[in-house]
Amino acid sequence: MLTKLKKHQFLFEELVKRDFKQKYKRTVLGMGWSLLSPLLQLLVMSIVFGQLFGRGMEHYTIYLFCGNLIFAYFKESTGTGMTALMNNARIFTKVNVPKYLFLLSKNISSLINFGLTLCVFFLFAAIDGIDFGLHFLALVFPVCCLVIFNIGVGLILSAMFVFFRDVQYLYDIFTLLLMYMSAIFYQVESMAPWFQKLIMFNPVYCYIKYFRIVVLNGSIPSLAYHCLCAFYALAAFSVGAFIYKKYNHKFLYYV
Amino acid sequence: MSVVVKAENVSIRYITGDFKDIGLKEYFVKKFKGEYNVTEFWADKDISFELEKGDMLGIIGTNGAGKSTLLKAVSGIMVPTEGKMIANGSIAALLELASGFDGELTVRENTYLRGAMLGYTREFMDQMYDQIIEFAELEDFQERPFKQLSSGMKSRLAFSIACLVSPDIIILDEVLSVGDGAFRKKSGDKMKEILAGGVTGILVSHSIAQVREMCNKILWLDHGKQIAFTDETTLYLDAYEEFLVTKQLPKSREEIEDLAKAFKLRKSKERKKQERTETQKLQAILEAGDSDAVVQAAMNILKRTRPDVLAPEHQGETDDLLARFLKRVTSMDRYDMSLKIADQMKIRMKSEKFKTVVLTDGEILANALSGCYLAKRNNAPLIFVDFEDIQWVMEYLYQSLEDNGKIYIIGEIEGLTDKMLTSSMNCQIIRIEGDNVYEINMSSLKEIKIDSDKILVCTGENFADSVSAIAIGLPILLVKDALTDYQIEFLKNNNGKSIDIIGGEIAVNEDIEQHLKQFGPTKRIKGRTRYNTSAVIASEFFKNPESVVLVSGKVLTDGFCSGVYAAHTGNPMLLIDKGNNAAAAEYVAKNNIKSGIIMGGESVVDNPTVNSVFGIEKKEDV
Repeated sequence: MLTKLKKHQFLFEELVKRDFKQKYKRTVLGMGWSLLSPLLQLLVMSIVFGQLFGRGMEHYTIYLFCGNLIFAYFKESTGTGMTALMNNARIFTKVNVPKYLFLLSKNISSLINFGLTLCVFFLFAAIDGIDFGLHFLALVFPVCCLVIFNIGVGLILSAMFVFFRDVQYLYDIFTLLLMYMSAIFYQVESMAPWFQKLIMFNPVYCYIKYFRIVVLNGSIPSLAYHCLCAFYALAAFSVGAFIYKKYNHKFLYYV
Repeated sequence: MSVVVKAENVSIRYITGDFKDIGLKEYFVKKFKGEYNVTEFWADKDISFELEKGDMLGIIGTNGAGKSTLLKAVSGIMVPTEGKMIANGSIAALLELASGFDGELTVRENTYLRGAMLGYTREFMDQMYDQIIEFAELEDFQERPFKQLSSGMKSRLAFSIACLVSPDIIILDEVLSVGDGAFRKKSGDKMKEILAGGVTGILVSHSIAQVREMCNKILWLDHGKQIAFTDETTLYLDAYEEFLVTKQLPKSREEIEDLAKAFKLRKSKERKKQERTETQKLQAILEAGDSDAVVQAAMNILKRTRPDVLAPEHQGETDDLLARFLKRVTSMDRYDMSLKIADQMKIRMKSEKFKTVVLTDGEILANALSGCYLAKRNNAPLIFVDFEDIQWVMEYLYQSLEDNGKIYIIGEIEGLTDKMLTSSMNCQIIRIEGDNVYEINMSSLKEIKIDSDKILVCTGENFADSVSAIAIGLPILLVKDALTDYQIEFLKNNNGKSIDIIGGEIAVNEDIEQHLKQFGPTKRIKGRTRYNTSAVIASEFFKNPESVVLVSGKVLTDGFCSGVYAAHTGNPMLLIDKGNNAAAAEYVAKNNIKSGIIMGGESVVDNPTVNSVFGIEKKEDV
């Protein structure tokens, strides 16, 4: 698949460019929103939940930021990914291009946004007095997993969206639920034990937790944990890839 | 040659009414009512064809035939539900010119995006960018948002980007019919350039003219089914065009041929009608007009056809003298010529009507040959009948045949029945019939008692030599490879008459010559070429000619009616053509002929040729 990617590299680049231009068309701040939006969110959340849940916790903002950062990336990536196929229906029904490229370009756009926000995150971390160290390099791992995971979920969602437009409504509810289940603004330890076990089934939470372990605790999670993260990513990707392979030729009948 | 595109029983199906299509509520309602029904729609069923490198396939069919769907299958966008589609080589599919453009992006950005979609690389686009913009003539619009362009500009850009491609297979779905006239020409020329480069192509177009021009193979689809895949493009395209009018789908090879024939018929009828109305219109204008231009036009016509009528300023030198005595008869086609010559005969006979006429099918010249003796003996004109426009001849006959006049019909004339003639005028019809041209010839010879001492023998297979013999006015016996029993009987009955064979050994072979010798003194008259032959015949049979009938040796058909005229007037007929006048010129000079009649317009027998026959070097100032 990577060789195919190489072949379509130019198209891929052009699609990413197009997505970026489209996103901030006619806005005054343009790209600035990629940065501003998560920061504003952070601000609101810290104000609202800071008193409620953050009392007694050091680096609550960073704790919050971790959750927000990862979750926002997941949401944006899968949200835009879901409609990627439908929106480009006019193209792939007339020109022979691999359909997954549209999804990938949306993912890359989101990734770039994530990258920018990550820089701000590190800035905040530095300001807040977090110790930086070599262990930060470990963060590459969850990011990679997250990318693959997002692509996988995106594949599944965009395929389903073509066949059942209902998916978008389900998706809204689902992300809401996921958000509450990701311990973004509250602490897991203060919840009941069954909840603590349940929450591990949320892949997004796992990645958030990984981040927090590295940044806040200053240590690297166990091997088992790595396997878990990798497992989620690969599982999502395999399912997505399978669906695409199977239904690739049926898409254009339903767009 | 290798196979580049191959479709094996390709079928493509659309499904409607299934769960995904109608939603949950409808699904349950329908299931409950028992109406749940998934319908299959086969856009294409069992399509098979094969293309080699360099082929250009034209896919034709009415709307909804499944053409665009098939193209999608070839370009890989769709996968056939059944069957196999194989395409060897890179494919560039232009299925919709404006697809893939984003209205918000600028022209430049869109160009790159579209180029990327078609599979080009960035370097390639950088190189070709300026060329693309130039071809599309959008230099001033590069930074404008795409949605601000007019639709014509959008098409130009799309086409410009797409035609830089050098694929192995190119697929065009009605993309050459967009845009204004100038663009269409531009795109057409560019496409021809691309195709000349050995690309295999598939074209869908509703412009049959385009398909005729560019394609060497045809695939005819109708409602998803394959009607034909063939390389007999003209035949099938004619049939298709007729089908568009009659809406009857052909089911067999025969029906295809019938359709094609009907189409050709209709087309030539329309064309002829147009030509005739044009001429009539012009003539009417000429007659009705009184402006200078009209007078000038009339003068020019007179100069050409009846220079003897014009004012003294055209007198003077020998060549102009001759010009005054040379008459020219022009016409639109052989049918018109036969009627014009008949008119000349009327003038000659000083009569408005004929007692007898001889009719024959304009396509079967052997019958014309058979009719000539009858025409001579009855002082009748030979008239060619056009089976596509019988009305025309009928009108002429109505005006030109005496009451209770005789009409000889030689052979079959399609579409002309006795009833048609007898119902519109008072006439006697005598049909000269037979199973083939030789039997018809025999019937014609039996029709009237032969009052001459000589019989002519010619081949019935070609007429280059025999047409000159018509002027002699003697009965003509047509032979092929050997004398038939009927012919032998005829010759026995006419024993003692001398026999002249017109033509060389290839026309009438030596065996026949030997056989003929049994019935009377036989001699052969031939020339190196048909032009020579006509001069030899003239020398042999016309010792003191007053004038001469000139006709083109290339366009032989006029020679038949001209020959009848020549026989009527007792003058020889000479075949002439550029560069083939030596014999004719010699004859004219030897006999000091000063006048003649030219059968054919300037495009058939031009003035310099005529002049050279009469020994004039100077160019006539007509």
